[in-house]
Amino acid sequence: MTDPLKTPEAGPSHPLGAVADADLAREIETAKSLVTAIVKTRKNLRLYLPNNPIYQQTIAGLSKAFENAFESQEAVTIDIQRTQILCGGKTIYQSPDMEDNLAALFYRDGIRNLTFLRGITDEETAEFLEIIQLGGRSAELDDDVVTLMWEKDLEHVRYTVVEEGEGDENDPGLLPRGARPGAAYGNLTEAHRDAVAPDGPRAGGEEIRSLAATPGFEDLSSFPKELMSPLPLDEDDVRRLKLQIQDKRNALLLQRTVDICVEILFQDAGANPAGFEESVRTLERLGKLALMRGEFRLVADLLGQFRQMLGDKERFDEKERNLLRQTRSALGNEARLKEVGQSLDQGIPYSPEALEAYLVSLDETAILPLCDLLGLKEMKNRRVIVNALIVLGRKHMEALVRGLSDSRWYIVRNIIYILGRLDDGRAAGVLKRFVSNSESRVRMEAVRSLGLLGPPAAEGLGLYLDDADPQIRLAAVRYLGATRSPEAARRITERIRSKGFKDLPNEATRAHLDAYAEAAGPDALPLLEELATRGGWFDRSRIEEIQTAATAALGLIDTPKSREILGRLGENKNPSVRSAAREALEKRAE
Amino acid sequence: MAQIPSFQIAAPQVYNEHVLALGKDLVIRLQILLKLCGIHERNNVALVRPSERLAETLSVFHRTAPAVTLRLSRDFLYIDEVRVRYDIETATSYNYLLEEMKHRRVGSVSFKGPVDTATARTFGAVFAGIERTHPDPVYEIQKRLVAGNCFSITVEAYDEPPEQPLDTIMDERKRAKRTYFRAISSLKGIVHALKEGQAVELRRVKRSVQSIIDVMLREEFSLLGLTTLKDYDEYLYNHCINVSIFALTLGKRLGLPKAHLTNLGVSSVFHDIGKVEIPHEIIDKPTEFTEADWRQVKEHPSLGVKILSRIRGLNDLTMVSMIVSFEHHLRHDSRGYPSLRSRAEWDMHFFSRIVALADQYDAMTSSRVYQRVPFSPDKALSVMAERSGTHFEPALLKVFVNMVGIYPIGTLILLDTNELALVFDTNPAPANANRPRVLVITDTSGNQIEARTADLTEIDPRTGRHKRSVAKVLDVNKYNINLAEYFI
Repeated sequence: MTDPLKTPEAGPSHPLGAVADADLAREIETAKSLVTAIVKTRKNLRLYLPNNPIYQQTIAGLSKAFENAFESQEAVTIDIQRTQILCGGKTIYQSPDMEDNLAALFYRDGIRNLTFLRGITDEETAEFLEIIQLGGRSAELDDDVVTLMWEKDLEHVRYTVVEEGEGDENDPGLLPRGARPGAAYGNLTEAHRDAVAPDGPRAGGEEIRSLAATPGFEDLSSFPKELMSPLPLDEDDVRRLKLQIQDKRNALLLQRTVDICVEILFQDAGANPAGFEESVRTLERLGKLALMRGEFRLVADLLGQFRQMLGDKERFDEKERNLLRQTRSALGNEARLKEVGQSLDQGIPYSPEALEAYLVSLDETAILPLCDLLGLKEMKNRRVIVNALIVLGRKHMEALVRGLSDSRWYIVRNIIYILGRLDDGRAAGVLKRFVSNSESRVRMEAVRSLGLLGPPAAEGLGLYLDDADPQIRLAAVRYLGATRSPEAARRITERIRSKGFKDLPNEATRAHLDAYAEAAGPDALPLLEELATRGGWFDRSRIEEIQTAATAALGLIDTPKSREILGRLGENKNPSVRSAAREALEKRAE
Repeated sequence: MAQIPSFQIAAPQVYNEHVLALGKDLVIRLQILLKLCGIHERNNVALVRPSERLAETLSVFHRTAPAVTLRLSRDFLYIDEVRVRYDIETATSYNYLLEEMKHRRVGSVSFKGPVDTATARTFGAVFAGIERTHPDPVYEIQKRLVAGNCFSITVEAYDEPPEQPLDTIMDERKRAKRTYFRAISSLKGIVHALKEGQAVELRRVKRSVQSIIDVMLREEFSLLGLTTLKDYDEYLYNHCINVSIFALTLGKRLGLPKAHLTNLGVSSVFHDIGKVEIPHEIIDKPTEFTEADWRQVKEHPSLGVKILSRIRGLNDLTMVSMIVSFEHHLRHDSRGYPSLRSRAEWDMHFFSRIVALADQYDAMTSSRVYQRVPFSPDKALSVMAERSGTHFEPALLKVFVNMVGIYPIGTLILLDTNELALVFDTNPAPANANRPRVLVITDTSGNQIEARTADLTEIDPRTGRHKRSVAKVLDVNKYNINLAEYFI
């Protein structure tokens, strides 16, 4: 006979049982789909980088799977076993591959149950995926799935964890002596007797000050007055505490750790060789970390400190100074600079001034590796490298020149750019070598850089006057003129008097004549006047172009004689010449 | 019954976090409004913005639940069964509301349904307008609210809550004990690995610290109770975990977020790791230290830095641990050790200042390095208070003292009933700081009894006075009281 007080179980034969079964079946199916989606997503994410569109699509796919799962239920709960995942007692995932087994990943770190809640955001999905990616590398990291889940504190992902087995709280070895069997302790009777005695000791024999009665604390009899109330915090206290909590310097861990290691270095100098070496090595590791993080100012300062220490022979002996030298070198060697380049390409935030400060503190061995970094993707990063190489190159031009053997034309071009800015006439001899370089952008840069070097560049620029590229030829003649050197005047005169001069395009003609005026100055007046007034029967328009160009070039020479010539040319029958002359005189008058 | 939000059912922790975040706002905004209502007339323009802000906060609550109740229980405020966190940001408002509600004998304020600015202002004015000496303040408040058409806000009288069931207390203590000893075990494992030159797994310590934080976020006294036990074979490990517990409790009081608490906890566990390289004959010496002994001991901060630097990757966690190891004896005025090339320029890290406090307190109350005879907790606090501004940052020291309490956990006291008792839980409300919860351990004649809890705030209804009060403080060390019997 059934007990009327007992609710019949909702078994299969009961109407409610059928509904319950259907619900459970649906939950299991939902959980299975979701776990399958997670497994698939995890695999895909290993194949692509975060900035790859497929990576993003994969995560979006999982978000969609979550959305689908929560259409009919508030939460999805799965149970974790050693190699399989269950829902409602049914296995929904298992894999024989222990290395890549999702269940094993969670089980190993103690997770026995996971619940995903409706409302899980895309960010939480991405973070959860990040956790299971990182959790698989916990042997290398200081975290496992549990610590990562705890820190991420995902609002819509809950878990239960069993703690690792060690640390039995009943282990006698761990317990205080008073908690072990047989511990004989305590003399409460004596304590009570002393306490109730009217003149008995108050507490432990220490000095107890008598206190004035204070409302609310009148029954306090044995406590120092200044601690009668919990020390109330006033506004100033709260303000100071907030400042301390929010102090940005708390986050400058790397800087502070470096400072500490330097202090210890000074403590150990001359007293503890092994300790000194260890501290130096630690500083090297910290320096490397700083470089990877883009904290270049820190490294620049550290290198500066090393430099000072190297100069202090009283405090640091030869062996210690050698160690410092080695570390100083290690923080600017090829490997370090390559890592810096990789970090810059990855887009780490940094201060360009700080990076430059670090780079210019390096020695000449850094120049070639830095030349390699002239191929960085972002211009702002390249600019910093260029600026640093300009500084370093002024001291070590030979090292910079060695970089010109690089096979990448853009690296060579950038080095040529730098050579032009070294304010060193010797660079001209190097730059003229590129006249036969197959890359026009390299040749153009060589011309521009030569143009910055003044008279010593005249010979080199002259070589580019016959370049195959008309733009390079133009640039060469203009820069040549700007050198204002006799050599430049001589070369340009040769070209003007050559047969081919009359066949030059107008722009080139003007460039030559302007350059001639600039280079030769007043000495150019006779030839320019001659060209401005020379006639001819053939190719009239060309003759007029030359006349006009010569007239304009006369305007660049500011002497009474040139004004006189221009005055006469202002009455020339050729309207272009007249116009050019008058324009030149007007400009002069301004 | 009010409809409970679905995520409260499915995920109480989720709901709790939601309420905690808003609860802080509610407490602060309510306090501001009430305070201003006590100063200004109802129509004063100064009340407009505070009323709006309170209404704003309530409207956020009402998006997920039709009613929200602010409730007073003992000396804590709750919002729908979730205890509002008492930390540096809420301290002033918290204490104000506790006091004002208690004086008016208001046990709860329920905001049932939308509360607009006008209603919020009316409530503030009515509440603040009731004299503390009114014979029936709750009835009067309710009457005036109805008269002011504030139907969506109701108040109820304060009812002293029943004792927390002993089995709940025991569960928490068991969990705390398990967490505590697991942390010890993890640390022992780490030290062993360091000594053997093996790879160190920081994640074990992290997990221990995170477990400590979880226990502590629920309640502190169980873990703090375990810190009173000092008679271990190898005290170093327990000292490190105790310091971590004190530091985390202080960090929690200051409202540090969880990620920072983890770093604080781990770095405080490792603060004395340098001592593993000091001969144990010195560390465990039962007699006074010689000068030479002290010189060696004073190397432990730098030794700790070196040990920690050998741990496999240098990351933020190892770095903050190195920093705390180096700085925790420097002192607030930088006159501690290790000596620095330039004291004037050194500013201790915030975590180092916290650990310095925790370290001093635990060391002083143990019969270890600093003095052979341990100080009683109150004496330790007294000495620390004298060092405010020199050894310790003054504001931080105040928070620490408040946290430890007038009668720190583990203090042996004589009650005015002639019973002996041990303090096992402090009272956060300043007005009741001298009335902790205690374990009564003897009868009035001094005979040992099975420990039972008593709350010193309890009032005898016949006399209207407190049932028990502290008469004297005794030195638990002098009488060799076995604290393990009560805290384990």
